[in-house]
Amino acid sequence: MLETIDIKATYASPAIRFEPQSKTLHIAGESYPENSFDFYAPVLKWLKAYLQQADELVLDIAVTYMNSSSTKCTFDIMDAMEDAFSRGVKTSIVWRYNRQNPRSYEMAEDFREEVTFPFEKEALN
Amino acid sequence: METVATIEECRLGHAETLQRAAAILAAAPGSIDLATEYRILAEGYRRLCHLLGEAAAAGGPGRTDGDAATAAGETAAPAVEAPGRMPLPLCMVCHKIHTDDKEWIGVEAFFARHADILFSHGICPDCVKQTYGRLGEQILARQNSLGEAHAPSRPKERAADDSLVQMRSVVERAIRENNPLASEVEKFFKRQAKLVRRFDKIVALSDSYQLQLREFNLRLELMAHTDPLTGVNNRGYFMELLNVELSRAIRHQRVLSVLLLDLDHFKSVNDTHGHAAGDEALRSVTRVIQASGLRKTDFFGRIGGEEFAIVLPETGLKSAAEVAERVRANLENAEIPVPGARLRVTASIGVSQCQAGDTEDSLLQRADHAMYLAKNGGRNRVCLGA
Repeated sequence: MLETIDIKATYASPAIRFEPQSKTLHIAGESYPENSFDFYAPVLKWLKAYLQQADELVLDIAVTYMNSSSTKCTFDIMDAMEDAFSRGVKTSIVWRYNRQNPRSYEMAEDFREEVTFPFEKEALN
Repeated sequence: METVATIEECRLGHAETLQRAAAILAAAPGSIDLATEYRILAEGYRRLCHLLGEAAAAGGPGRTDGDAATAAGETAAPAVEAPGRMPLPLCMVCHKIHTDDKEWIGVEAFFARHADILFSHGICPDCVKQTYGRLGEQILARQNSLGEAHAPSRPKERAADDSLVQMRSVVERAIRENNPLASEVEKFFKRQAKLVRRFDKIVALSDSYQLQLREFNLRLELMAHTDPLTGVNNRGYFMELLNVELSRAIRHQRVLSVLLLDLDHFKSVNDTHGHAAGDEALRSVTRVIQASGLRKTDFFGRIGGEEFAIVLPETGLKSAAEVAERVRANLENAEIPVPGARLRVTASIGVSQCQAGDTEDSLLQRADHAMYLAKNGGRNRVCLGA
């Protein structure tokens, strides 16, 4: 059985937690760790392994700020999901945007354009 | 390639126009038909504007800039044609220039009105971006006021990537020539295309996040300077502003006055009518001060619970006292919008004028002292300090 993932939030990095019951990977907080690639490497490794043996994954993402490298890592996560989707895994994303910040909705749209599987935008507040 | 040709055409056209203008300037007065020349120059200019618009549209840094330049060219054209219709101070018969003032005033007015077009060559990309940015803000503000969460979409396309254009031609050739590697090459092409798009997207997203931070910072800065209840300068920021203004006054040996306003019996307003009424009274003071004809250089803030201070640079005690009296009287007459009550408040105001060696504190202390004299003298009055 694959180990689950549970990373606590810090001021510069989001909380990342997998909920097996709902098959949901939650990412919430702000993301500008000193080294995003190091930070996201175990997440990506876990995700790829999980997607090899799972039939479903929801990514629930509520990140209000990302630096460029975190953005790159988020795209990597989405690519892994897209890859799984093409193999028949039921992948989807719930992207939580900030209603008070009009840019946030538009950025969600920028991310949505990169995937072909279901991508929902929901207001965070 | 088309763009290059157009720019070259522009350059030649421009050179021709300049030569023509130089020839006119060099020619003996009366030997040249100025009206005709003027018309030819105007026509040349109009054509250049048009070409410039086209060139910008074809090869400008972005489509929006190009469109803006074209639009600017189109707007400019009628004005540039106007010289042909403007009566020149030139006699149709003898071809001599009149010395009639009226004619020259007409010419002057024309130049003044069209200076932007006659002496400029379009709009620089920075200004276009700025204007677009402002438009964006306006749209944003409007949408915010409507409670809409959608921002205006930013331009997403950019000029085709060179490496992709090259690769595409290789892929097409490989397919045409039935090269066995064609499908591999095509795969690489698609991967490259994705990388390029991804790169652009990450950069654009990064910009958006940064912009978002900047907006938050601005908002924070504003919040740090502002009293949330009344929306005017808070004590901290007021003192900063006073520091700058006072140093300037002392350095240049100018006068400056301060009004210190304290609401009378404010506690009983709160006790009798509730805190909401008290808050409304404070907002009312703000409105009265704002409507009391302060100059642009004057400023004020809420510096305590029911205490406001107004700074009047370049103003002596006597004029400051007049302002204070106006504020006092307007406040006395202002009805505070409180449900179920006809509430009015009054204030005691102390005025002081800066002296050599003053600090913000010493200046405010004298105003404070005068304000207490006003309180002791029966309230709802203005007292002058030193």
